[in-house]
Amino acid sequence: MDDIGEEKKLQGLLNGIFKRDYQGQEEYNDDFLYEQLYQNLDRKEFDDFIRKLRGIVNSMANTNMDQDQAETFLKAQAKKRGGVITSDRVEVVLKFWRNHKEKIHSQIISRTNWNGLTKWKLDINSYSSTKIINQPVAVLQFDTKSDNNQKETLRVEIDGKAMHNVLEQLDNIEDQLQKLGN
Amino acid sequence: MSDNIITGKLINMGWTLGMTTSSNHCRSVNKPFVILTLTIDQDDYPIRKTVELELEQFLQLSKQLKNAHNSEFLYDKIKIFPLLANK
Repeated sequence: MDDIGEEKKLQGLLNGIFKRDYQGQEEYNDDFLYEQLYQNLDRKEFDDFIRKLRGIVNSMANTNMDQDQAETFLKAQAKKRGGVITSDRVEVVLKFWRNHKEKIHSQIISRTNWNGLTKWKLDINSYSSTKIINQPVAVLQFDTKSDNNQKETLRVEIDGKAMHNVLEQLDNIEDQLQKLGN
Repeated sequence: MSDNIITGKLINMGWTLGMTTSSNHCRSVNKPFVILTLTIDQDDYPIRKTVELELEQFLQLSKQLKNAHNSEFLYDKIKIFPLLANK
């Protein structure tokens, strides 16, 4: 009974780490996880435990381990004395990794964007009641998000001349992509 | 909601095409990217902003902009872009 309890607690903890670190769900902070799962431990013990566990998950994520690599890694960790991974924990972590690896990897990859485009739209302004428009203007709106979560909206008005430049550049980019075989 | 909204006329667009090989978050990324550098005319002075796009995003954007340009309702191609009129 006790073993099952421990396994579930570890699963819960790993899930909490996933939700907080990789899904940005702030409510799964250390206080919450401690209260919910590990009150049987000294708080300091818990802090040490979760820190080491995070380290393990980070190592696996940073090198994007596949299941085999993860298994080798975890088994090696289990041999270390005083490590957070014991032999009965290997399976639990491996299962967690199998289920969450892809999502974690996507998250990490998206963090390599420093000012990444999140969404965009294109409007064509042809008529206006308040001002005279000589020619239609395309308005391109970009929403971006930086890796420290700062959001910005750019609304660029593209008139005929600018559109010409834009289209030319787009062709140049596509030519280059073709050359790279993409 | 965005922290910051910037509006203005597009003066120039530059670009960079590259590949992210790795980062501190992940040793092996290998993902292509397109960076657009937009020079935007604001009231006081022009500013330059960069936007990073994934390949898929770039291709979609490119397609949409071309569609908009080719739209019958939009630009009088013959007057403004005589060279492109036959594209």
